[in-house]
Amino acid sequence: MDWFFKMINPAEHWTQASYEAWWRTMLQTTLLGFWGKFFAAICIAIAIWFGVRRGMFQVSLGFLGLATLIMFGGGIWFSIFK
Amino acid sequence: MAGKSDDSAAIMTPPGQDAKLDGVFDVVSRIQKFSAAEKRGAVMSADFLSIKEQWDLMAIGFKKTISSGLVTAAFTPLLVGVIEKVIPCFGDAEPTFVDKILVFALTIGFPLSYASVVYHLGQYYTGEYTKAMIKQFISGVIWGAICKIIVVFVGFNAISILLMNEKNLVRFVLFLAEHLPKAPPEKLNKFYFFLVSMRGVLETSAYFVLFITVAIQICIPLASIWFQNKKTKEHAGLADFPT
Repeated sequence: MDWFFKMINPAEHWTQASYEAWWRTMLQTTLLGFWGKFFAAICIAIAIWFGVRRGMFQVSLGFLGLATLIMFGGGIWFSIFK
Repeated sequence: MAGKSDDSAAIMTPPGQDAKLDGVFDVVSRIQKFSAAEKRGAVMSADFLSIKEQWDLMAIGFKKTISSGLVTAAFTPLLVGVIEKVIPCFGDAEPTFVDKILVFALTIGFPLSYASVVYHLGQYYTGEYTKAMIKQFISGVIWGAICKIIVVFVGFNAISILLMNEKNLVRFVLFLAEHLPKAPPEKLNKFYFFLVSMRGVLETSAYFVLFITVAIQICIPLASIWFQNKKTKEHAGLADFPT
């Protein structure tokens, strides 16, 4: 079992700095700029489709929550950690 | 007569075996079918609409308005916060045009989509039976909108005035300072001023919800019916004109 935990431990494959840099870039890409807006727009469209057309309100709420996280997550992140 | 597998062909279903109405699209489809039948000469009195069907139509209108209304209510403070530059959107306190469009879509996308579906009901407002169905559904929508306005308007103002008054905010920030000793005082100070700005945001949000609900969920369905009535009367006038 030890080999499994060793295999999924990112510290075995990445340096701490490169791992942090990768996550920072990933979060900045998804929460800010063009891609953030693109993902948020897609989530809102899917939410409206599921909520209004398919009548699946819970799924729609999930996508709205995701859109909110993308739109406002960046602001919260930077106000806490910057 | 239609079985469960052939719903698209159903106009009349045996008593007690009506397909359950599940959402706005189901209601519009059902109204569309009966309207088509009435336009082709079927004579159906409004009395055919049983009390259960009346209740179902009203309940769907009410439930869908309340659920979309709660989504609007939850996101309105975010919208107002972004427009008033209190809440940063996509990590930036200065919202761009696209940011504003996206926040508007997030907030009023739901009621606007429902309203666009409900607006189509106007064109089926012709026969006696369909009129009774539409009236029941629209009354549910309007009652839902009124309940939503009361709850949200009173709720936002109550939170802003009773819960987020200056005394409570100072007490809350002091509580945070006491329990988060590592938090830098300038961040807590910034957080306090953010909460103070949010009070104004909530008050504006209450009026925004009031305005948007009246405009989208009450005026649009009524306007749709009014336009159709006017059109029907004009057609009737033309038909009466001696040729």
